[in-house]
Amino acid sequence: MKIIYTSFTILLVVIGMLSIGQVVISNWLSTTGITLGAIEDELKQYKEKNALLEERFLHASSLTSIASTAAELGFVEKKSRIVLTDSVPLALKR
Amino acid sequence: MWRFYAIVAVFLLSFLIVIARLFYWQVVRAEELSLFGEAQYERTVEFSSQRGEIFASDGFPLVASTLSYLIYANPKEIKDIKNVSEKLSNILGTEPSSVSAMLSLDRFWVPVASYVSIEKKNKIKELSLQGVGFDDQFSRFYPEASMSAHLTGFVGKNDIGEDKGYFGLEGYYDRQLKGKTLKIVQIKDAYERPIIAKREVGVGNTKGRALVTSVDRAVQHLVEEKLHEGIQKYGASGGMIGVIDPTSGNIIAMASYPTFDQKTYQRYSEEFYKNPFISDTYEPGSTFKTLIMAAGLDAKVVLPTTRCPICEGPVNIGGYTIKTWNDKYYKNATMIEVLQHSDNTGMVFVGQSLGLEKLVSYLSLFGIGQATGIDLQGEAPSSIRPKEEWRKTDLATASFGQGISLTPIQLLSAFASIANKGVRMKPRIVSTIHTSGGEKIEIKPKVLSRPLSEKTAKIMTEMLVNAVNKGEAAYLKPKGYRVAGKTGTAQIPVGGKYDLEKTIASFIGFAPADDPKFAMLVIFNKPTSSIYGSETAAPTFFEIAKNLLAYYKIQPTE
Repeated sequence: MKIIYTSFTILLVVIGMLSIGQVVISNWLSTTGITLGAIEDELKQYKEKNALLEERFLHASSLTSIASTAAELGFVEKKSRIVLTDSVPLALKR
Repeated sequence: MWRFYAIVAVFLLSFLIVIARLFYWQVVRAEELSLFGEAQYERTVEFSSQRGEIFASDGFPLVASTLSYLIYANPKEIKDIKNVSEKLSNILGTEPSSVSAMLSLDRFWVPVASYVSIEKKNKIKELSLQGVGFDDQFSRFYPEASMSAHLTGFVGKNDIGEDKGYFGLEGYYDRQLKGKTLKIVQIKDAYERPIIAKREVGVGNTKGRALVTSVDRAVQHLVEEKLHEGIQKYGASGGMIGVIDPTSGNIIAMASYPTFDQKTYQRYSEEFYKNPFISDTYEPGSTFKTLIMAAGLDAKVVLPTTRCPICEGPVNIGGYTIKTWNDKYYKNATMIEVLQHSDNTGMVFVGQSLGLEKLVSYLSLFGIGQATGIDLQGEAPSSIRPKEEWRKTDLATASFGQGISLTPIQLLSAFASIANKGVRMKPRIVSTIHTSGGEKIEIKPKVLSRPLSEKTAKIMTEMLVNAVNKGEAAYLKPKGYRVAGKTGTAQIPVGGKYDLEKTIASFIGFAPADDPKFAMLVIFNKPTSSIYGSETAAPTFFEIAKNLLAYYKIQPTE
């Protein structure tokens, strides 16, 4: 009889503790949404910044942009070319 | 005693009523309430698909996707429609009436504007307008502006409003470039903040596959610049240039004018979307002589030193008189001289020597009359009339490139076989496909046919070098380099007759002749400063060739 009462008591205590634990954890989880929401907002901001930076970078490094800037700075196309075909001697024998 | 039973009965009845009510809400209306609850605490987050990029050969994106936003509203939550419409339309640059019309609808969700830039979206967000929200979208971005528009194509909408690629690579590889929409179900609290309780993640990645092309950005830029310059200089109505690597079939550059801007394609007429280099057929004129002469040499019906017995004057075929372009005739000219002088009568002799059967067979080997299979949407194959319908005049005129139609890409890929030891490669733009999982799918070069033997290709190359060195465009050749090529001045058929004043001026060639790095076809449509290819297309060809030889660091050999 004593064993039955002891087992019953232990069972009740375990149930009680698990219930309290569930309440504590659920309570904790419900507020982590605030952090998650803040992280998601921050991620969105970085995503936007990255997209804008990438656009600016690609535009700046495009050949179209470089050619336009070069023309504004006064660079012109070189019309004549010099080609060195044979190796040039360091010294000539007299 | 009766009072006791009465009270018990009242309690029992009350319990029965409560139980019945509980049964009604928890069993009968259970599903409805469950859905209502889910709508309150669950949120389906859709991650819209990101279309794959299209890269040039150096890894720089010709086409990329950038973040933009769909602005939506819940009209039920908007109290002051006029005020909200004005604020939104000021930032979006639209009419307040169109925004107001959307917000007046009896719906829970209406789209207000799509593909809105990040800057505009942030301005709207700062206003903290009740009932207005934002969804991620991706829109196409062109770092090189409208460069290579005909190659890339553009992204429009299909019948159900989904993104769809049209023309060029966007059209051809639409299914590969498209990504997948990913859905995530989140639990949220009363303040719309997410709770880490349950998450169901959709299968798959959102991003589409990326294409790496063989297009060289620097060459493409050069070609577009020179094409535009040439059209202005020679007063042409349009033009196109294609540059190919003859050993692999890789398209290094391709440009056509008039062109369009992919970003604002709606502002252009539909006729501009077509890439004429692959879609439009034309009578090639003297550039076609290279293929017929090569066929004649390969079939051994003529040798380079064979003398033309009919070249002393105009030739009469089936009641039609065939003359040379300049009315000059060279009696007993060799085949080398026929090509050098671009002699129509000499080419008639080659065609007659070949005969219809062999000529049609070689045309088929060269791919004339068939689609090349280039990976661009919109290729139109030309068609060759069946053998039974050919007359003597058709055989004669086809020998010098009139009375036969083909697309520029067919001509270029056929001609490139001379530069590639007689082997015709399939022209292609995309060399590798990158999957969203990081896998690289290589697309290997493909041999389409072998129209010529290696020996014939070598002989033809020397004849073409001679044609450049001693032809009308000899003064334009880059010093120290051996360039193989041929001019073309084709009359345009108008209402069954040829217009003498309007021509398609062209030049086709490859360099360096001994180890070709590129083959190129330049075409000007109806140039007005001069009708001849030697005075319009040839200078442009050599101008580009000079730059390419320096770009590829090719040393002079002469």
